[in-house]
Amino acid sequence: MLFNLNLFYMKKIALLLAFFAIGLQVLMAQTKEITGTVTSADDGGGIPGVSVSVKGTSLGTITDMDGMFRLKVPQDSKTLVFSFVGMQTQEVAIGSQTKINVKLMSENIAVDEVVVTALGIAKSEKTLGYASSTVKSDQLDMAKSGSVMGGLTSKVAGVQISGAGSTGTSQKVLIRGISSLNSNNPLYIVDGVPIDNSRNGNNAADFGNGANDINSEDVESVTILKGASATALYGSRASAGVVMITTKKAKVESLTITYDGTFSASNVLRVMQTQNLFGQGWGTWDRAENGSWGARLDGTTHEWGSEMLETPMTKPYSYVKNNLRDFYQTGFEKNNSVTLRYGTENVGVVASYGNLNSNGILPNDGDTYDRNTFSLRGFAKVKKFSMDMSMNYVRKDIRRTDGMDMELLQHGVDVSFSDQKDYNDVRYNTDNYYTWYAQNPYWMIDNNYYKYQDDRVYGKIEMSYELMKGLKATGRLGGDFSNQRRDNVDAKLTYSDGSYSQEGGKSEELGYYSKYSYNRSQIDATALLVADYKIGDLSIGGTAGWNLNQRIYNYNGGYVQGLDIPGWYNLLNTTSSATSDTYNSSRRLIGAFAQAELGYKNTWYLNLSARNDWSSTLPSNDNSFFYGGVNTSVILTELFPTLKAYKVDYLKLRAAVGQTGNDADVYKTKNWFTPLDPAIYTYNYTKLPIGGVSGLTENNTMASQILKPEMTTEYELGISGNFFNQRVSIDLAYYNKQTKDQIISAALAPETGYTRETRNVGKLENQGVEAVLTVTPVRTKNWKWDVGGTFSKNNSKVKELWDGLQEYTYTSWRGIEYILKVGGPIGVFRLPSVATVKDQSSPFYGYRIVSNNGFLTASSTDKDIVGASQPKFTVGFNTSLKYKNFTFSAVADWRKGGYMVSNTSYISHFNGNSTQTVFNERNSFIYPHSVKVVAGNYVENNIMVRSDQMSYAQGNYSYSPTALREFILPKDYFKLREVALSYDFPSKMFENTPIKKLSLSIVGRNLLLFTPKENNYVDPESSNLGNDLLSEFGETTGTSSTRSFGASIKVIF
Amino acid sequence: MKKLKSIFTGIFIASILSLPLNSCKDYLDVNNNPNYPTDGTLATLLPSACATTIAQYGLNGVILGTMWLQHTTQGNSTNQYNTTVNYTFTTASYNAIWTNAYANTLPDLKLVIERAEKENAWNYWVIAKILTAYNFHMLTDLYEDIPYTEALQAEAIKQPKYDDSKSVVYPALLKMLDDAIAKESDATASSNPVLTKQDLFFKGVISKWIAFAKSLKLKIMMRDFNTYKTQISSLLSAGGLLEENCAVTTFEDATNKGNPLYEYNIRQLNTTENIRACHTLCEFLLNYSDPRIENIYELTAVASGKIAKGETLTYAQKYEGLPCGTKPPTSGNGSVPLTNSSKFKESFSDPVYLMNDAEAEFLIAEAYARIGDSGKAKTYYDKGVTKSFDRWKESASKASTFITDGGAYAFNASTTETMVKSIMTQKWISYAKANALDGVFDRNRTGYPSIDPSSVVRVSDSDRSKGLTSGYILGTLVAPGATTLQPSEFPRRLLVPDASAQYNVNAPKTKALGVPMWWQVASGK
Repeated sequence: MLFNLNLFYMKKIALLLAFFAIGLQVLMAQTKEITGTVTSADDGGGIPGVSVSVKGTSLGTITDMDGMFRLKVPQDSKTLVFSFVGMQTQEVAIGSQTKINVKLMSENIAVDEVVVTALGIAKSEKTLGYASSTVKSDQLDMAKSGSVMGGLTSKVAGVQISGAGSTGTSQKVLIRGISSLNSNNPLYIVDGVPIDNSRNGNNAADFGNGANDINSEDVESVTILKGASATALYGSRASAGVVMITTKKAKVESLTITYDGTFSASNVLRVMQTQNLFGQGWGTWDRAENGSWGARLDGTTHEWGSEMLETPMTKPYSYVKNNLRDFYQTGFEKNNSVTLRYGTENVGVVASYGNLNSNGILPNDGDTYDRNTFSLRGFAKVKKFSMDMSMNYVRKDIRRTDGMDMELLQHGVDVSFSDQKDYNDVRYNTDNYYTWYAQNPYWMIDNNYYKYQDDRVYGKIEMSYELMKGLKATGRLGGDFSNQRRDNVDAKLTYSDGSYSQEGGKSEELGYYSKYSYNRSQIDATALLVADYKIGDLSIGGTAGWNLNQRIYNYNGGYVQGLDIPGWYNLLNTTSSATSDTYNSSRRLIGAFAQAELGYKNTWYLNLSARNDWSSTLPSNDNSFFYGGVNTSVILTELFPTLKAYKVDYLKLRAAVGQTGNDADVYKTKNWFTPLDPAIYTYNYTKLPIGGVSGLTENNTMASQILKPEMTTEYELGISGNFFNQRVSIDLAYYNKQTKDQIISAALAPETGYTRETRNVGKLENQGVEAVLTVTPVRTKNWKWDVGGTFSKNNSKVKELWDGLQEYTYTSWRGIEYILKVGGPIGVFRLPSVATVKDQSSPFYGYRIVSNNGFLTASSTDKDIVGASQPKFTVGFNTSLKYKNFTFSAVADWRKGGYMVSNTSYISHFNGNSTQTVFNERNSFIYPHSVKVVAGNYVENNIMVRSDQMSYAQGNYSYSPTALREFILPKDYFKLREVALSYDFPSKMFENTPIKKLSLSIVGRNLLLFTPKENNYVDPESSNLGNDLLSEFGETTGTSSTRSFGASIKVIF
Repeated sequence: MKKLKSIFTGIFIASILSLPLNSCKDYLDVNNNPNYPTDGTLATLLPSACATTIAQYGLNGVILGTMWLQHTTQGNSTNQYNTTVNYTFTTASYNAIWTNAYANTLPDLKLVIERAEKENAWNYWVIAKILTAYNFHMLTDLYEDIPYTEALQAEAIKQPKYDDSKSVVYPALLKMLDDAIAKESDATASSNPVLTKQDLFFKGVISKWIAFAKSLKLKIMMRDFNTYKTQISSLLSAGGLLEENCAVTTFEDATNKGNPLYEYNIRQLNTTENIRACHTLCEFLLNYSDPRIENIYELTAVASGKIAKGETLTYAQKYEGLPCGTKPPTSGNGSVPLTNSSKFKESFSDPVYLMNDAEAEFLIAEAYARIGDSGKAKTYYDKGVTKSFDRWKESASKASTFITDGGAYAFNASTTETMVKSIMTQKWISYAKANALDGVFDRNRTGYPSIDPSSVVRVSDSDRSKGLTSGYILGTLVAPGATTLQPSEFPRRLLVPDASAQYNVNAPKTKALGVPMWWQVASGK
């Protein structure tokens, strides 16, 4: 036995290893013995379990409990390699030594980091002329969120990550702001091959996006490539940046088994704050109302709810505290993961299984998520040939409710939800639920829902061969295949004859059922030649390659609108017929690329890259486009070594310019005809066939035969450095990014015959600064304290639209427009002004004009701009404090500026529940500084807005333009995102046990949220409108965000 | 090892060689949408054009018409149509009418016309021409100046100019109808393709389309009676005008396959309580015990409960309206509970009319009245009232007692003005549950029903002893609560829609809601 391997484990994984066990060599020649101790550079203690091997062979051992090792090596052995998880691998020349002591440094204080760049090529950080940020697994997984992108939140400058909050929902990632009207989603690369990151779901139910499928325990690091120069090699799909995920690889190490377990509990983070002065009613008290425009709460006991009960219910007419908060339950989540690792110089394998199971905060198990991940990754090297592969299988089962969130906001503030939990109780059932305008939310959860299930396989095979010294050929084939099934059930509901609900004219629910299956597949093939030479002081490198990408998406399924038999969910359950629905799309892209790198000494580096793409989605006679980038870096500390005397350890200047092209979405080059269907023509309620006649209508978007690719050009300057013996490090970047010829469906005036036209439009600019500062105020044998911060500021500007157009309404809702205006930032909120007297000669010039009920009126032509959706700046804070084996860390972030539209604010204004509706305590008043119109003349307004009309005056935007303004909330927040306290048990405790490492931690996520007082409605990060520009518009009431607390254990055997 | 190496080298070289450089073009040729056809035939485009023609006029057209004519008003427990009843209009209001007509209906009709010319399918051609004229006419009557000569040419013209309603659009539409009428014999030739159910209105019967075209011509010319007086006379004497409804009646009881208003307002909204009887029409019908009330409004819930117990009730006990625009509370003092007011009667099977049969007769009656032929005016007035009664089983054949001499609705032939008032008042009622938007045009064109600026219909919103406000004249409109217009004003147009104004530099600055169009009576009338 060459390896200190437990036979039992050996057998267990023998099957897995068989595939990789190529070329285990047993060669023994003349030997000598080397001994030594491996200690930690941090605390000086011996490190057990360090792999010690002879470079280029499979000879090796591991250190004992005190960090000591003893190894027989052949006489001609040249180098020993010391490696250990979380430490930098070190190589030591043997020479004539027989005693070698080594100090290992932990990985996160590396001076010259090796980073993964485009196409998976590893490079020294100092050679890069652009910004690239890497977050390592220990930081990423600090708070055990189970989600890779969730763990990255607020840790990288220039990257905004936000999510709906509950487990398994999608994450929005924006790198350097919104730069495209088309797509701003970065490209996700796992170990060199792209994966699909589409968001699955809709505005009612979010089943997460592709990156959610990665077990965060599998991830070694995440690198974000931000600028066009960095991403050029990835081609058109990288124009919004690249998120490169590198999984954990086996190093030279004996077999280890790692178990990670996290158990956490969650509760709702933010519920809207309701007013507590007025109770149920609309104008006056009303038993059936779903709002609080009733009389002032007085605590008197009175009858409420259904009139049809044998024993009428009574309750005090007083505010129910924590009504919404008490509706939610405590969610529980467990995340278990087992990883096996084994490696030598020539083969390595990592196998893992992870299960994340969550029962969220909705009562009645309304919100569950179960994810199983299997991963098998390995490499093998034989002389000049090497192979690398990974295979991942993910299975998810998700349940979400459909449309419940709105019901929760529609209540009288004196009516308790949690009392009505048992909807089988005659008092709270569907026949007798107190309001006619909403359903019992507990009933909704059980009866209206989505079920989602998917199977996904992704992975790659990569083979390389060293053709000659310094020249390597690589072929890489990646694939990503997923198959999803989705059921949507909305129960059919009728009310008993003569029941309270029926007498009240409550709408019956027709019932809806749909069943769809979706398939996505992606194949990505790359062939590469990589050269790397050194001639004297000059290093010369080059890469040339070819890439092919094919993506296919299709779905088929059907739906029934209007169920016949209650409770039976099948497409057969209808009196007419189910509608079946199928869709297919496919797209292909071929790219050829090359890159050249020059280095002079260790001082100056230059990198040139270029790529040409041929895309199937562009017009077939003109589908080729070319772009590229240049970047350079100068290591000032090498150029001026005297800097080191001024405590400058390392200082690098960098500059880059790059371009990335982007193609169109599928099927934008030819017109087509569709059946007349309200699903497509949303403002119509007429669908053919009717009476046995079907029909086709021309698609409202005009195709384009002259589409050009969208082009992003970006300039970037940066400086980074380490000071005071690695105690301070900074990284500053300035960038200016211009995106032109965006491919959008540009609005056309309908009188042209189309409402939209696919075309290239406009020019958007984003410029900004990113700063990262890390300080280590304390670093002693027992103590280490790091404080870090990131600062990002992005200014966006619409420089051009199209055809001289000055503004473009991206979307609108209830009269609030989200516009792009030339000269302004991307995405600005605008609404109708209050009508005022415009006649300058009038004594009432500037006065507001009221209607004949004394309400303010909206101008039919004038509009006010409120502000932009994008933040003024964002700041991330992080700190970690280590004392011996304890580590405390925390991450927080602060967002300043920006606005969002809130449907929660709208609906709670409408029904009198929001705190803003108790303006003036709802006493009658006359709008000051206003006029009414009498016989065409302005007269000082004396019309009293009556208190029984407050529901219009303060809650209804169609009467009150000032109510509309209150639906737009400031998006500022401060969030304490992650707190973790962990303890590593001293390894001495595990002598004579198989345990190598044991650590425990307590974690908390999203513990605190502060928002400006105007926003007492929602978590400003919550949006259910997808993960792109549209989501910046705001929320239409989706899931609630959560805070969670948990404990985690990690054991390595 | 050697073997593995050579296998790998082989794969690598093969993959390099297989770079689809030559076949690149074919390999990338996957951008033809496989999901939909790239062309539409006559037989598929015409049904869509028919369906989109009624999709908006059968929904928003009816809502605007019936609420502005005060047949109905917004219910007091709900809020869906607040801005409609109180005229709070912005440039974003009702854009769907414009968008649907221009982007859905008219382009499909244009394709039908182009194809029909190539295929000698004159039956399709005639129908498409007449429907095109109808759609443009609705647009010009809703918005006044509209893009016409440069519209629907997206490839060449992205910013179509707006054409003058009176001097350009109107004459062009009349010519379009004349062209269609002139093709009648071509369109009935046997060489035409079979066309039956694809025509959702007349099942392919060309003669009925020609009749509709003639009545539509009359409707258009009546906007400018003095200019077209001669043509109107000769049109009347030639005869052959519409004698039946031009409507879609083939609705099904399934989501999005029924009457569009029913689909939206009843089947798919979260409440069915929105549209309710308005005092203005309800009190009129109650006052004359007009049996048509049974088909326009639902029994109140209280009344149907009593009837179920075997009680016999009068109309006044069965039907109750709400005041126009202002909404009494549903409980407490001065309230009208939901159970005490009548809903607007809606069914999935309600037809959507482009022109109803009574309307066609009233048009002729008015033309004769203005020409001065009171005899013929009375004949057609009586026909109109009769057809309006005969629309429903409950009121069928009951018109005669109303129109007979001394009857409640007897024709007043004293002067042109009294004739017009008789006709327009009955026409106002006949638009209930039909194409009410045309009633709005008629009101603005003739000033009937007139507006009573100072009154509400009833002394009390809630008290069933009711009693009309002193001085209020039945059959006149009142100012709705919280109106943004002057009490004597009435909406005359829709505002130039954002959908056009934002993307067409030629879009004019919108005129205010109350500014009359060229063919309308003066402000305040």
